[in-house]
Amino acid sequence: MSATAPTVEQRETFPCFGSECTVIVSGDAGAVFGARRRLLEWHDQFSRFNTDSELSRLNSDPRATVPVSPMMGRIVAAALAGAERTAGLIDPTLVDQIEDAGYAGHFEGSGIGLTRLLELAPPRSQPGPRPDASWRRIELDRRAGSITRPAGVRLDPGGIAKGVFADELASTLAAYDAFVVDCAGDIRLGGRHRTARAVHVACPFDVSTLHTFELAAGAVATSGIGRRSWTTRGGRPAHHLLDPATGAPAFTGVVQATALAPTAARAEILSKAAVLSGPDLAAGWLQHGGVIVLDDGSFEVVSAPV
Amino acid sequence: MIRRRVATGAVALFLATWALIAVELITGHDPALASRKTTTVATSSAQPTTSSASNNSGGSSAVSSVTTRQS
Repeated sequence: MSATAPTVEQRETFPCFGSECTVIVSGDAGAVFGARRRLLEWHDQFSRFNTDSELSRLNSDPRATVPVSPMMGRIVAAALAGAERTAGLIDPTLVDQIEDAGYAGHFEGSGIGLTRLLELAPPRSQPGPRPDASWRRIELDRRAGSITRPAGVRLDPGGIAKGVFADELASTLAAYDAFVVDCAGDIRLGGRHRTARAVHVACPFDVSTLHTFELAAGAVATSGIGRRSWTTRGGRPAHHLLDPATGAPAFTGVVQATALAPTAARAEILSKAAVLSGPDLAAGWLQHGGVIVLDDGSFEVVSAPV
Repeated sequence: MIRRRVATGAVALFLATWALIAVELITGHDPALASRKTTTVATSSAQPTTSSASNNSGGSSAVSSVTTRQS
């Protein structure tokens, strides 16, 4: 027997995190407004490009041990968990490298386009961990509310923070019949009615839909190199997903990966790891299901175990 | 007499059974469809595909969709 249909959904889409966020809650516009307000506050609090943000103040703090907010603690914990899970393939300490690559401020527009990016790209290669693995020397003391890191190590949790935000809001919206929090592509959905919802996976080459999942709960995240791409002053193609071993933008043969997972933070880690692992290993990260898109535009839908 | 009653009863039972099955199918309660489990598709074509990752839902056409893309 089907569950009762939910009440009318309240939905709002707004600019945030250099992209767009969407919040959907059944029957409560106030909850949508509250979620929107928190996302915008978190954007200001944790933006790498805002010199007054907590993240910027942490990165510029000369002390070895720095007090942090509970949310910063959760973000750093998720980033370190991602590094641990991927053995350093996802490295939250590549701030110097991403700035050297030309990504030191808000990214305007959609970039040079994936097709042009791939035309300019070097031969595909397999990324690896950073030799010094400085992320291993970051210590988070959640009880004391502090982070200790080696001198000069700066943090950039990147998209993992968006996943943490989506998960945080999901915990506050769980009592509603249905909800969706879309943090610029990191999506968390659920609700008491477990209402099935179509989640479309966008093609990175155009505006088409590659695949549609029917999901009642859980999370979806998409990582890729199609947007936020540019050419450096030397004419080299660049994007924001770096090979930790070289510090250069990674070209693996996978241009986009979408991962399903129980939480958005984990989906973000899995999707990013799939892109950085290359075509032969990408599917191994999508244990909850997902979609992999390759250089040539072909794609594979990875089944979740039944 | 007895043979006629048995034959009439058998025919009536046969018709009642098929009428019940027909009603179930017409109202959309096809047991073959009701037992559908999670389905996933693996493909490398350029055609959009659909898969379900949950079979305990109360779907509604009023529910809006969302799109995941690299941000």
